Amino acid sequence: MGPDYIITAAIFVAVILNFIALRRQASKKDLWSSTTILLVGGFLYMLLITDIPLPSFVIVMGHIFGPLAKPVMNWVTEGRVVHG
Amino acid sequence: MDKGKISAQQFALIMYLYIIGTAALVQPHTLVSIAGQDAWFSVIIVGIIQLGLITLYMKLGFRYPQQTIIQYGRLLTGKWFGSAIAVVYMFYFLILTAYVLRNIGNFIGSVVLPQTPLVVNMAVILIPAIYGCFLGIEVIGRTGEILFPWAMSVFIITALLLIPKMHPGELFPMFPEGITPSIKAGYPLLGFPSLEIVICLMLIPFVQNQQKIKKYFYITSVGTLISGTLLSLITIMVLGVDLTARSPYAVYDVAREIRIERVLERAEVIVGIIWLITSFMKLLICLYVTVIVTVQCFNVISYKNLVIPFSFLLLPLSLWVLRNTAELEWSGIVYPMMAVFPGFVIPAVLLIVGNFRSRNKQGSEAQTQPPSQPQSEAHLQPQPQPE
Repeated sequence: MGPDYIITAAIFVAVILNFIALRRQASKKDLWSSTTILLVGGFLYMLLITDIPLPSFVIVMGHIFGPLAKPVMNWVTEGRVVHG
Repeated sequence: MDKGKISAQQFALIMYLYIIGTAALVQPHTLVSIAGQDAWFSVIIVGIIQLGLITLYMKLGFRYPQQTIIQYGRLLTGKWFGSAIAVVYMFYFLILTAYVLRNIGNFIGSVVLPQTPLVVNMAVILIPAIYGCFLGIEVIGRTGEILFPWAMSVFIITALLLIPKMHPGELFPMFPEGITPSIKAGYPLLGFPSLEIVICLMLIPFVQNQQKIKKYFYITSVGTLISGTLLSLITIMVLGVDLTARSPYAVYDVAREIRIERVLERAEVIVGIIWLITSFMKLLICLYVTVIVTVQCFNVISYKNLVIPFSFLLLPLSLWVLRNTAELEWSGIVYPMMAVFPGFVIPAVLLIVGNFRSRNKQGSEAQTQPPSQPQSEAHLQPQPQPE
């Protein structure tokens, strides 16, 4: 739990510091790109720590490639030597 | 964009560390659980396919040696398709970096520091990677040059110390069910790490003496093939099929067997250094390329402005790619399917389109014989090949 609070706080601080640092030095594209990346990261982290039932990337990919992945899974695992 | 340059030798070394990377850690477990004692043969099969992939990448990369795949993707397919290709690569490298980070976090968390939270393990390894990425490709190249001899020497010493523990009988009977199990076991290996070598198409423009890349890259590929085969053989001969299949980090567990009287014992953490080195280099290269792809995708001016924001995205992303270890087996099936598009389909299509357009151009030039080359089409001409 402790690291979660630290990382969430760090993301918020990073958003603010990034905005302050890049507002005058960098181009608008740089500023908005970096702020967007930070905010997406922060949002995703908060979704994860609040235990919202978010399907993982592997599950999402499994749904996309499902019709193809299941026969491949059966083919790869049939006659498997050791079920580790 | 980064103005730094690396030599062909540095490129080859970082590609070796990249290919071996985290794959060597998890490879024996996956291979042996499918192919049993014939797992070493899967590495050879995949190694041969890997050589074919490298030939494809070299052909494409040398058509446009001063540009990345994002840049010539836009030139060849137009603004919209080119941007779509850029977005595909951006997501692919982002997910790959998150995977690598998660693998390192899982490895440290399960064998070295089991009491430490996963996020902390990942953050600790991510901080030097961010710094390396911030310093640029030259520093990454030199880091590879410094770390490679250490990794190799520890690997060779470990292999020599394990000779008394090896039981060649574990490798027999060979091919009891033919080579089909070996082919099956090669499938997860294709996605992780063979198709990931597409990353070289982002690094070729940073290499100074490009005429030497081809030679060194083939040597690297053969080197990874030999290392992978040796790792599988050693693991099977020392631990046996059953233990290797049940151990998620079999290569690390093999080092536990090193025991020289009571002088040298519990050497596994020292051996773990090799895998931390290769995994760190892989993470560093992946992070750097992810940042460069994003810079080229959105025409950002300075890549350094994106390095730290990406670290804050990668941490939650690595937690999200795999929610638990049960999903790991499923990812071995799904991941190669995802990787085949950026790793094979897009480079192959770009090579065909590039050949087709240059042939069309040559044909039309031969027919019309224009007095001067039109300015708008000049960029479609492939640049002279270094060889």
